[in-house]
Amino acid sequence: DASARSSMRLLRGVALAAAAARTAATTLAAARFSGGVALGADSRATQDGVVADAFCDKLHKLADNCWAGGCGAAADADEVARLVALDLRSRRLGEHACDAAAPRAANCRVAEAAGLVTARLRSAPLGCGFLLGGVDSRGACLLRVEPDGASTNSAYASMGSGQMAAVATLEASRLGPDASRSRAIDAVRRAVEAGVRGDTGSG
Amino acid sequence: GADSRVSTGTYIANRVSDKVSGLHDKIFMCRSGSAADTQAISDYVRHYLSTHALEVGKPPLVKTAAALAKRICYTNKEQLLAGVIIAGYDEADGGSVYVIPLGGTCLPVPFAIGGSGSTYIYGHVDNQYKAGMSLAECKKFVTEAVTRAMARDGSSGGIIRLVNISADGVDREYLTV
Repeated sequence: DASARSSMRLLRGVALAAAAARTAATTLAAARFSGGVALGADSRATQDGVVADAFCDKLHKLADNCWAGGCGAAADADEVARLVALDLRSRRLGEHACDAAAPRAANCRVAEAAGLVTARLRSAPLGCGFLLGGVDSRGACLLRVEPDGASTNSAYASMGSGQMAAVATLEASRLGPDASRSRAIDAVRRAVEAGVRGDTGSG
Repeated sequence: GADSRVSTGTYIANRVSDKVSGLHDKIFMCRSGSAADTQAISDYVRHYLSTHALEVGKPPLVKTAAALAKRICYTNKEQLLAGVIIAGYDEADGGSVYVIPLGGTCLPVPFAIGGSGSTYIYGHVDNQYKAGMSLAECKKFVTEAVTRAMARDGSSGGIIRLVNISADGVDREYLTV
């Protein structure tokens, strides 16, 4: 219901000012398939054990071909994602400054997006991590970016307090290198469900 | 060669990670310690080396890569937790190995081990190493050493990633168990 969600977002805005709402209590799961990455997240933001926002959106669009799921401090994750998306967009506009392609240039290279996220995390003591996934000319790529800026590449990954429940499901789904899109999406959905059921911080 | 386990606390964040980073076509770095620190170091060294290679017009020397990494590790020794091994092939010195442990000293060595699992295999590698081994013997030496370290160290595990560098080229492979 739209009005309930918008009032929840106002509540979240106020709550963030008072005390740090965290998505550390989170389940993020992602799986790579031939041609893309499936990214999934729960929707619970907590503040010292109280649910601050039950319907928050942890999946941030960095570019048309690159999304990131954020966990950790909600304010940090949202802000890093917002600024990186703006940086990517302004780079595309700069590249196409003299031609008509600018409005439609909304893709990025995944390594470029990952580099921008990593640079922000390395330079400041931010408390957020990401599962960053995208597709570009080099193929599909899934990166797990830790709060200190370390990144690691794998075919599937999970993050947040529900990561153990989620990764157990992902391991059991036996996604091979030739996983299909529907199998990957199904595996990620079940992984997030496992996190929601098995972790108090995810919901 | 390296294992492939990356852990955050007791959770294994990635069980098939790649700890052997390429710095240039025939120069690689084995990373241990803080992943963020060593990735930052390898990013800087890769950037400096690519500019340097353009300036001299030739592939860079392994000792240049080692000197660059050593400069970063030594001048920032308070802030960094990084132990790296730089290895590769160049026309001037052939195959070379340099080890840069915590603190930032740079030592040219015939072989090197590093990381938390290395403490368990010092005796093993001292016993097994012979000068003048062939490529196949070197691969066997590295594989056995990493296998034994993975068997005893909780922070090491997964697959063994091998990078074989020679005058003919570079060959990346991985071995399970």
